[in-house]
Amino acid sequence: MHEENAALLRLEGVGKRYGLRRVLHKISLDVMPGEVVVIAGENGSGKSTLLKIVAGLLRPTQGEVAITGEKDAASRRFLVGYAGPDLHLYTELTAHENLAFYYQVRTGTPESHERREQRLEAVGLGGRGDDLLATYSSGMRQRMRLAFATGHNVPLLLLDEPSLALDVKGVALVGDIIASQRERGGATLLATNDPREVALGDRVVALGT
Amino acid sequence: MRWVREALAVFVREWRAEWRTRVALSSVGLFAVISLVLIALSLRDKEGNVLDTTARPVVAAGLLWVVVFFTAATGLGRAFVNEEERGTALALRLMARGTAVWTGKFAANATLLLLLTGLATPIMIGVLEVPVNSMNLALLICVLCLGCLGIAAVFTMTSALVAQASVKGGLLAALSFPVLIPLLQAGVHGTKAGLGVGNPEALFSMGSGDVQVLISYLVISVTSSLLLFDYVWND
Repeated sequence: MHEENAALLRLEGVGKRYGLRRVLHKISLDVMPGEVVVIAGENGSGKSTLLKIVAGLLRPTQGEVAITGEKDAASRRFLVGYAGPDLHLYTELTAHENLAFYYQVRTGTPESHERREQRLEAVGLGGRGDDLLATYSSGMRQRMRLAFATGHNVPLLLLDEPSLALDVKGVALVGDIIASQRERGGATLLATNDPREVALGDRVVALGT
Repeated sequence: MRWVREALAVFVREWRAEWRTRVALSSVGLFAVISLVLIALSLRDKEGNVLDTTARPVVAAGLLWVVVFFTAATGLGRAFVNEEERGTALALRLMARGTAVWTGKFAANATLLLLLTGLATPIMIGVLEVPVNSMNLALLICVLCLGCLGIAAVFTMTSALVAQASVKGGLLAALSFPVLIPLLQAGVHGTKAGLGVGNPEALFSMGSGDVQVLISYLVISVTSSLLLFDYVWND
């Protein structure tokens, strides 16, 4: 049972090895509700790996991860919203079809066209929902990733370089998304080295130092 | 019911994507057509006569399953390999439960294979001029449908395994074939009975043993896939 005032995310001695190469070593971290924590570090320092471990997409070599007390990796996936450069949506489907599919497959219920349009408008893709993703620019695809991550009111948002390929308005959008998550009492883990994004965090955890 | 709706969403997405790209339909369809044309050419003599009457249904049963097996190997392997290669598996893992993903993809694979088998079977019967008066159509349809469902179940599961491997070429058929031997044996035998081989009165009961084997195989393959798939999908 998750207690009041307890950490929303808890990492205890999390480590990851790829063969003989050690990527993460005994990372311990508590993230409180409403908090925004920036994970910074050089390329290859394990920022993305850490986010994937938190999301339950990678198994840590050592240590434990709990989101609202949930330690099971498969169950944790339903507690996070994830957007990262390696996340790809279906390019042969339209934006509306993508959002409708992921909503239905996650909740078992259909999402109304109006709500999907609202989600697209929120990320600056209003009126483009019936276009195939194959026709989207890299910046528009990044906005779709943000729409994908933020559609389910999850307790923890995991954003891996969220401003990648975004224009100035897009960078402001990332700030709005994080502020909205904070207002709802959710936490955000932000993996980045971009100073504009680092400034959005309450604290910075540096990896590889 | 929620699980069914989630699986249905995967099924609809698979077919919507397939309808737009026609990747599997074209590769599978092409393979089936080429196979049938080659069979038609190779089994006729200079005068255009096809084998003797008794050999036709035996050859047709064997060749039909060759076409079904390799059609499946050509088209069904894409189920999970595509997701991994295009990077869409990550989003699917985050959003969907493993059992819903497997069921949706199995249903999409099964309908594709049933569709192709439904088209290939009458062509094969026509090409080889199999006598229709000694056929038991109900038995033939029953055996082919159960066989297709079993093959789709096995290929959907092995596709998920192969998708994790770095070298995928040929692995799907190599992994699936030993597992499918009991199904293929019952399938070929049941098809022969359905086409009237050793069954001059076209009785369903002559192939009921094979139908029972195919039902058992289907139940085992679907159940074991649903039980094991989460381990493959989540790791």
